[in-house]
Amino acid sequence: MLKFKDVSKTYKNGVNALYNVSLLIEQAEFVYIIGPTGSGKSTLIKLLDAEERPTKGTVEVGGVDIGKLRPCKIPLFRRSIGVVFQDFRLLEHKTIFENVYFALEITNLPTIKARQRVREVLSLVDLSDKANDFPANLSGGQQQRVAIARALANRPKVLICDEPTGNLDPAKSAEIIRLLEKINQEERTTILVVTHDINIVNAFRKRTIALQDGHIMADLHDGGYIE
Amino acid sequence: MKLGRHIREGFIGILRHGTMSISAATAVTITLLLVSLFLLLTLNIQQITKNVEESVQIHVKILDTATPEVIEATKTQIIALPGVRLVTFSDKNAELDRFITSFGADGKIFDMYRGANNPLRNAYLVDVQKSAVLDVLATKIQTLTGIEAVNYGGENTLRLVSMMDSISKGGLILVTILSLLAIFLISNTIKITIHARSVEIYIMRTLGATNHFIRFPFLIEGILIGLLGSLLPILITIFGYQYLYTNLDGVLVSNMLILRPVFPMVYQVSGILAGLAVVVGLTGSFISVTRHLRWKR
Repeated sequence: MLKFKDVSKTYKNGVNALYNVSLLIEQAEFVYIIGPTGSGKSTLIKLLDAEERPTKGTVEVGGVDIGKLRPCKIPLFRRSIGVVFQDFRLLEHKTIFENVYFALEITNLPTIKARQRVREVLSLVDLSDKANDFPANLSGGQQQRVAIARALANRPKVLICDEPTGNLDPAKSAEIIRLLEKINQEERTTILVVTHDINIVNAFRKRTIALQDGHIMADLHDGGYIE
Repeated sequence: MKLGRHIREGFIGILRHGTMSISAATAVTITLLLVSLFLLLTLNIQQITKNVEESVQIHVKILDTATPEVIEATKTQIIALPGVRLVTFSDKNAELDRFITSFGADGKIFDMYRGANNPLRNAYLVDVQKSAVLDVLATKIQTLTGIEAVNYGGENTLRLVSMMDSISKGGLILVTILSLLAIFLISNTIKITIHARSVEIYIMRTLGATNHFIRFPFLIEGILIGLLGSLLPILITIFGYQYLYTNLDGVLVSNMLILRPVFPMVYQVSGILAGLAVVVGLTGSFISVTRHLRWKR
């Protein structure tokens, strides 16, 4: 599903973020990517959602070589993956319903189907009653669930989560991970969680890939945090 | 086509970004008010200049000894001179009439000169195309046969005309500068407005919205903000000028300085203001959105 082959990334300012990273993640896997600040986690995500091109090597998502995507194809590609960020990135001037609806209306889905799908994913993240609220009126955990609902709206094969629990307290964090597990099991969505939250990684054991200074330091299939 | 959706989003955008919309629209309002003011001023000065120029005549006295043939021949010669618009022959009696009317009620006293005693001369009244050639023409006419004297409003007329001319030119330059300033100011305001929404644009991009899909509602918003800002200047133009015109009886200071009629000028000026507002709103938002859309991949 996700395939990194000898990927290196050097930014224009000369900073080396990744060195010869090779990685294979199968469909319906749940994977943590851990590592300290500056280890290359963010670069990994930017390569996956086509914000950056690899300097060397290839990044494939569902068989598509992202580095070779023409700029006009990038929006189409992005609709096929879901991305969730630490800071939620909700459209603050749109209601919860409209935020999720936006992800669908950009795909030209007929209105009736789109509205139906919005209700589906909002009930999946248990926020049907907040549909007409604005993001500012929701708690952090609720906002993150909206972001997840929005990312799922287009039925992506992969859900990429960048520090999804970074702004949440432990109880809310566990709630989000449980939600991700549910999505992983029910929808067979590949889930990639980038985090440095030790508690989460130790409590919900999954395949864990540790990055350090742009190298893969460990790839533990039974999980747990590496000191 | 999702045109309806984009237009609706444009309206919603304005409402949900109330303060931003108002501040951008206010910038439009202030500049358009200035543009309107100077536009009205310039148009009126042009009108007044035209009136003054049209009313300027060269008065040519014909020698008493000139035969009708000479009078006719000289008239043809004057018409042939460059810059002459119209030559009218005015005989002694007509000249006396003019003389008497120019004195108003007291003029009756000169009635005794009517008939054989009339001391006035036959004359040509020469209308010119441009007042700038008045003195040149006067000198040329003087040299023709059968002419006794040539008289035109003189230095004062010329000075007034040239003054009007420079005021109107200055006004036009001012309008141009103000319009440029308006475009700069407004595009700057819209740029700030949209910069504040760069996060929004960025999020839309990460969700996979095409550039066109993101841009369209912003363009509609720009147009609407422009139109919103032009509302007050247009109303002030229409009703303010009408008020001024009625209170001044359509003239400025003296009867020679006739103001432009209210209609259709106010509608034309309003049209210009609205057009300017749309163009400025559209270009402003286009430039600023596009800047954010080119960003990275």
